[in-house]
Amino acid sequence: MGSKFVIADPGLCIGCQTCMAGCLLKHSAPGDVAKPRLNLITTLTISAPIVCHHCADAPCVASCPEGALYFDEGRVAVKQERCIGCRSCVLACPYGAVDVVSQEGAAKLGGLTVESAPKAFLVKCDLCYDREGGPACVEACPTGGLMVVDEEELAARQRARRMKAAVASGAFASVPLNMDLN
Amino acid sequence: MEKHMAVCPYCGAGCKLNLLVDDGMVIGAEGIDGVTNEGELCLKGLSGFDFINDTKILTPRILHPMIRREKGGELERVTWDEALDFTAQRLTEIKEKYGPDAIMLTGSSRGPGNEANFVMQKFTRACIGTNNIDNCARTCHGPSVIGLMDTVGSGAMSVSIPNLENADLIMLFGYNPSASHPIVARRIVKAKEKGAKIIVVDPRSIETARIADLYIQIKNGCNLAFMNAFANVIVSENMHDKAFIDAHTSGFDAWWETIKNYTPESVAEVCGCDPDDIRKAARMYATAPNSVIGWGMGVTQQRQGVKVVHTIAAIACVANQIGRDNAGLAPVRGQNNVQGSCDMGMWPSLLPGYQKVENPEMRAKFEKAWGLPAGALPAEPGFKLTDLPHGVKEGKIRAFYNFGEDPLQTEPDSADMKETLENLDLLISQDIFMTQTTALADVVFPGTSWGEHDGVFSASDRTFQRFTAAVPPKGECKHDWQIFQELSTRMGYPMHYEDTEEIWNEVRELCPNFYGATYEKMAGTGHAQWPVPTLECPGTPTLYKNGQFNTADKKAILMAHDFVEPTELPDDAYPLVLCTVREVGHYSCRSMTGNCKVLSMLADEPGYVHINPADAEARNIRDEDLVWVSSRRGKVITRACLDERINKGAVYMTYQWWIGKCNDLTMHVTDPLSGTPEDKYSACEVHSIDDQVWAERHMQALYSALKDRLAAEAAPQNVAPAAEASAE
Repeated sequence: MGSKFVIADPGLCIGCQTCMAGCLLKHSAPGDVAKPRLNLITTLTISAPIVCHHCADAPCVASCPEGALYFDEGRVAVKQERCIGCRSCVLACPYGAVDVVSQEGAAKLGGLTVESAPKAFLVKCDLCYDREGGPACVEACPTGGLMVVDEEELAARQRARRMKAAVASGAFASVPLNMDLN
Repeated sequence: MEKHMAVCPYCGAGCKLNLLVDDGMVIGAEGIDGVTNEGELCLKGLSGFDFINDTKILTPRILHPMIRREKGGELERVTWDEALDFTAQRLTEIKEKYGPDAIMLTGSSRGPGNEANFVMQKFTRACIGTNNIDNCARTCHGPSVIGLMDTVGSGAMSVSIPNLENADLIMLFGYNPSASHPIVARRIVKAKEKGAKIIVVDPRSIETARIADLYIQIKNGCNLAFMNAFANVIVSENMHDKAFIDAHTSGFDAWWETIKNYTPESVAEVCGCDPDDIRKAARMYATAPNSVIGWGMGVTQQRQGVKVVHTIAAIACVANQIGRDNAGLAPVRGQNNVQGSCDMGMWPSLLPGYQKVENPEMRAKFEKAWGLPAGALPAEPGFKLTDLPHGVKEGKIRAFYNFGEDPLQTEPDSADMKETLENLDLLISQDIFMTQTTALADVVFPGTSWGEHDGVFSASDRTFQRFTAAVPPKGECKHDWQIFQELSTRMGYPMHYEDTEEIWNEVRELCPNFYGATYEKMAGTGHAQWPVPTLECPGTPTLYKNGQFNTADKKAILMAHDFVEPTELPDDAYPLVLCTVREVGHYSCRSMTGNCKVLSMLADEPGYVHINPADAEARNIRDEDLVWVSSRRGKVITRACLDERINKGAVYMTYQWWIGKCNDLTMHVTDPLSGTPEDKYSACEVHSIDDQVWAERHMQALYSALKDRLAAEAAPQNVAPAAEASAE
């Protein structure tokens, strides 16, 4: 699959929204939709920006009747021209990480530009696939509280946890182990 | 693309950055490896640059000088010569008729830098002949400056920002660094990662409370009671350092006479917390190897601000948690150069370098350096910024020269402030934007913006750093120091500086503690932390090493005071406490950040009133509803944020919103020792609005009308002066 996503560490997050500013700076280019793709959420104990997980079996992709959402090398990508603004993806996403907004756009009539008409835009994290240096939010976070989790990172975390579990299993060995080896 | 080194113009953290310039426009910012920020920036540093380009998102830049020939008349664009002649003549008339003390000035703690402020105070003292010069520290950390000078001798942080992360314990008292200084909050997170204990004492469950080892939720307005009890525990439980107290402090016995009465039980009701939590906090603080107390506006914008600072200083001294790299006092300053304004003598009782105006030797030194006859400099401390309203009402202040501040937005009781400004004989506003204050001015001087000039800023931890121009001045904008010197020259006291380095070298010569801070030393990411008395000295990150305090006998003076309740307690009509706070995405009066695209997209009018969900439910208010907030001073519309981090019985608003303007509600009552307004405590009520559709339209209409009015006030600058147009 090769799925990747950005995740926040709520212990390092200071709720400063610099990730959102970094995202907006990246996405305020002409032709893009200037809305932050991550949203800071705070509760009594948690502060963390919530953003698309690029799920391997993404409900948003499954929910789209027009194929506006699709898998592209491990990320959930958007074909903007196919979006009809039905918001099925907004309903389907368990992270609340997909948004559909209306942007004023110029309507064409036989090559003639007429008055502006609203156009639906699907707004979600694209992992800054076209940005050198990777996601702008990760780079912007002043506490290093955001990271890209990819297959490698997941595997490394799994290995570390399996190692910890293996070491702990010594406690219930039926034959005493030679602890001098440590 | 060009890169130009600067220091962020927002909070006092002193973050170094490069401004990215393409085709004369500032198009981006990137962090560089400064001593305090280590390459990191918060959202304002990262995306708060485009106001320089005159985006007109909120209000236009001022690019040409304008005057109002008649009080209440229209602004008219004139040539610089005419604007300066007009102003010099009006100021001279007022000085001759009412005396120099009828003129009041305020420095700017924002973008201009130390040199511009130094020249302004020189103009004030040497040319006008008054000490009526102040700065916005009066409204924020003034009590820290005064309270620390009273007790330990220097009105500044005793520790450095980088060393915060090496403390063993950090206690935050009325300070929310995540909102006011994210890059300082980063050091606190790093301290925690390195194993430090964190204590948070605050009515709100602030960001740092989430990683605190102990969070004590106190009632609003109980600071002195809490700190007295905290001090009481340290001594009662024998955790004070008797040898240090004997050798390095004075007044312990008298101090204890007051403190001994404040047992944790005696303050439990006032503070609304468990007495054992006070004990626990005091034990953690006193027994950790190196502890730092950080505080902010939660301490200073109170009725007893100075007294609480006295007590905090005493606590650090009796526990011997001061004078080491990782132990001490951390009042972290709000505006990026508010430390600098104080350093430069934008203070009615202090010459540059904290040299007292009342000291004849100091005055003689400055008189000699400034070519003035002996006795020319005024010896009496001048008016404070918060004396302006009653000073005008009593006819004592006739002219006010406002430099880069917006008192109509940032000072309490806006209606009263508006009347004050309107009743002046002459209001001069030197700014980069058409603010609400500038819109009332009789003279409008266009200064250059941050990004258009060079200079030195003082970060909150006494670190001098240089910043440089990225783009040339727009329109007819002049450097602030040029405006002051041209005005001074016209008024009979000539000044002719060529550049900021020449000004800075004069500062160095006059201020022994700044002497070693040369431009050369501060090149690139170089810095110099005062005191820096010699050219060889690299700077002094830590004050009071080995218990050597900056007082006459080198001993800290212990001061204790009895607790008094806040001035305006909640009652049936106004049952909620209104506390004004900061939010991370905007800065000061918002004229800068409100003109930045990304920052205004992230947060815009009318802002929020944060309210506990239970208090909201009792008033039939839902999250995101527009609501009325009213007090004895006024009534404003804003949006409700139902927030479980907020204590019941209190609501919180931020002071940068021009429609949801909390200073329409606050009251002009000040701490008598500092003149700092009690912005953290007044009484209010929040009312639901049934017709939300009407409310949204009403709010938008108010916002559009305000923006239109300010644009209209600035519009005359687009019409070239008649004199110039008709010239050959």
